[in-house]
Amino acid sequence: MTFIDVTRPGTKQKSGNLHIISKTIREIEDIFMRLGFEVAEGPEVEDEWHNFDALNVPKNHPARDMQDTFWIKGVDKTVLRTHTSGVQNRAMMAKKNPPIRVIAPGRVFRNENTDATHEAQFHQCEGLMVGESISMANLKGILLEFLKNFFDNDEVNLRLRPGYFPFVEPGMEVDVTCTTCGGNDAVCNVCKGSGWIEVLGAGMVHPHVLASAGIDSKKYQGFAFGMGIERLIMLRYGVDDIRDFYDGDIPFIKQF
Amino acid sequence: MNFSYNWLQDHFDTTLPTPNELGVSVGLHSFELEGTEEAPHGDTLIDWDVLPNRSSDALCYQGVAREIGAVLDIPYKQWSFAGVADATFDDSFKTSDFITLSVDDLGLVKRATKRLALDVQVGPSPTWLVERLEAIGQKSINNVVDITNYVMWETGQPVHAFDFDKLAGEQNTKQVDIRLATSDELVTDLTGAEHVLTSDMLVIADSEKALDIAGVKGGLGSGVDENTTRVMLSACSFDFQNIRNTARRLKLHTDASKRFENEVPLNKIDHAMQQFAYLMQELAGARVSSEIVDTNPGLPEQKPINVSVSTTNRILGLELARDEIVNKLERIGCIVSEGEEEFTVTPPFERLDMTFAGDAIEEIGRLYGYENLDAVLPSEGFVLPQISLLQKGMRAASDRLVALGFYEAKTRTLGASGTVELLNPLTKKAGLLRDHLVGDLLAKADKNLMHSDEPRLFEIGKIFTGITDGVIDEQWNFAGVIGKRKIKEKNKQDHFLQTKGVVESVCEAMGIIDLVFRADTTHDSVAKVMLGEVEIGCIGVNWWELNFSNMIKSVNHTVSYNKPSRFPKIDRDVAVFVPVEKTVKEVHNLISNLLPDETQSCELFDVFEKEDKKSFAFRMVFQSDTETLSDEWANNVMNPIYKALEKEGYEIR
Ligand SMILES: [Zn+2]
Repeated sequence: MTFIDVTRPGTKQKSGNLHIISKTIREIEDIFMRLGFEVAEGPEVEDEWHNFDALNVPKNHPARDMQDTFWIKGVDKTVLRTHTSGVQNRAMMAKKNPPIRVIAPGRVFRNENTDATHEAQFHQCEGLMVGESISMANLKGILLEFLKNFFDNDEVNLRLRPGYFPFVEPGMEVDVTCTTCGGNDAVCNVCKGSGWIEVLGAGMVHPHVLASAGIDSKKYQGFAFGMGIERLIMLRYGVDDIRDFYDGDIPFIKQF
Repeated sequence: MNFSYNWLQDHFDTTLPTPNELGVSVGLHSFELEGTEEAPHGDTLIDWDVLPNRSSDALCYQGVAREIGAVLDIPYKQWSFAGVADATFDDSFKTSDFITLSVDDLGLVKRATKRLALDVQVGPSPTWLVERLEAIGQKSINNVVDITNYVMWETGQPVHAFDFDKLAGEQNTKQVDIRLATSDELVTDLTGAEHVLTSDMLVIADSEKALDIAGVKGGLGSGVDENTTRVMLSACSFDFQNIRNTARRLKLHTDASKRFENEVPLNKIDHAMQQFAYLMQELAGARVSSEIVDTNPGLPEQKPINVSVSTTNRILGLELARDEIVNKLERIGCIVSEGEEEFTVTPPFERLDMTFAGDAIEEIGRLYGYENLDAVLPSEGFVLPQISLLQKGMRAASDRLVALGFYEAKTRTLGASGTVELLNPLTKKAGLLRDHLVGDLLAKADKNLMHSDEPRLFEIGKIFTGITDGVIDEQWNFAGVIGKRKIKEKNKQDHFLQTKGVVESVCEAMGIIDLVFRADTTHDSVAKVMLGEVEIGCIGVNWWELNFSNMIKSVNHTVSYNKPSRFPKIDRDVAVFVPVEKTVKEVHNLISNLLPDETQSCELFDVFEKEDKKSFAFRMVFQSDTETLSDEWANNVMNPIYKALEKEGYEIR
């Protein structure tokens, strides 16, 4: 009988990989689709109205001047979107009537100098849910479901704190249990010993935002939330330099 | 902002929780806790991030003390020491006999107040004041300057002390103007730095010259020193946008400008003046006039907000009783009207951020504690989510590419090539929006040659091809590269076929059928890629770049089922020599036209060149649904084909 050496390495097959940003967005899409959310998409170059006015960002808000936002030359009032929230307005306009459950993942831009934690471009996923009685308790319910699934851990908890974003009122920051130390390490370098990590911004949709999409804010209410994809990945895998995401380095892409 | 723990304690009779506990409590209910650190004089600094919506009321000790009182539900004292509220001042002289105040009527000066203090004794500050200021990193200068500093941190209203005798004018009557600067007017600030102003910046001036940059920084010539005996107390409020512009253009960001940029409520001037005057009497032995020269004593009133118990509960997802709601609103200083279900809420004047029911509901929610909310899944409005064509197409294409050994790269949108330009780029190298993807991918593939012999990369991303009627042309593109160290001329055909095979495979996975390649060498490419008659991009020897938005539109998922035949297949080969310039397509067409319905396929399986001619070999597979095909049947099919080929002058091998 022929001797077959089973310890020899298997013949290498061609293999590739999705970028971790795409993988993570897919994961987020799949969780939210199971929760009844649709995935929407919108332009990366936005008009000022969709990027700011429709979202209740005041005319004199610092975000509107040259400091934080890239403006397009030769076209009036046009920017590289600073968030994917413009998609929310379009989704509401398209639906006309609640219920609305939609998430909008995509590339966004900030006019910031690049370093290990800042890139002029990064990815966000924002979400929106509107109905007759969609409350802050529901916001907490949906986000908790999402975070448990995303971190694949039933023990994960979340914590809401007051925050401020013009398009929501009340607005809040969302912290998740530190998955590195579970809150049991006073010198944990991920949560700095607090046991919590900030992962999302959220809030109840401002009536002006509903109104600018033609939705009756007396009858309908809802919540919105947003998260930075690169930040989630950096927390999850310990990637320490955001610039690595855009280098196209196969040894980087291969690992995830 | 860093807050001194001991200073905060001055506002409470009860002992506050430890700095860390206090930091966390306020962090969960009001302002994000950035950290705590030790400070001089046994003090601790608590760093809370006061966001723009709360800058009007909470960039000061009075504001944060009120907040702490509300969060911990303990009484707080507005004044850090007794005696301020009922202080009495000097009736024996009037400020208006000494000072005439006028302001430009452009609406940029919201309110200006001046008050005169006589017999001022400038000297060192008492220990407690030095300690409070040093704890937050401020240097003690003298009692008068320290008082102005203390009052600003206490009330959030910047105030300033002018040496009355340094102002131009008669000995006992001075003219003070708040006006726009003249073009190129110079002001030397307290530190000796000179600033050239523009004519839209505000200054406080005497009858001869600008004394300081209003709302931003005091001037050198009019400050208080050890010889000062008469002081003009000043507290003003300005248009916040104007101050923001001035501070930014002069690159002069001060504690005062930071507050004015965020709009200081006009009523704060009353608190600040009261404390300022009181401390001048207590700490500098001054006599302060009871009269305040005030340009705008008629103050805005807060508008009441309509709030209802049911809306509050509907938004928060709670079942709070009226009393619980009212209690929380009163803790932050609101006045709540009668009414069981509906009532009005009048916010304290400092809370410029509270303008509609949502603001009041936020206050109720955060004092109730977001941590006490249950997590409840919504019970209404489930609709089966639709999967978009884009989402389906992207997943199908990228999954197939990964299976073919490709890695997905994400390259940068901003770079040095493209047609749409940024008005305010970060750098020149990143001033254009990309109008294709493949350039960057080729560069990345080259870099990857150090890790891999044949790096395969792809990207699906937005590109921007131009501007039409004021709208940016934006589309999804899809590009890929098979990296090579070197492309030899003789291998080009093989490389191209490899690349073409990948594109075909991806299209098949997406459900795109009418893919056509048409020779074209305009962009260093080999062929145009068409979907029917629509051009969707091009393909090179080892790369492709296609319009993904258009590809999505041609996706066709309809499947027409053919029952597999139960009868065996039979095949035939034909090989011909043809002139070198003939294409596979020409010969294939000739054959195809003569094939019967039973034909399953007719495919090229071999090509070679020999001297001045080349050989094509085709294999035909036949199968019938109703019978077993015989050799004779096949010969009858092939004979006319041989004849037709020979008639064209091709030599059958
Ligand atoms: Zn931790």
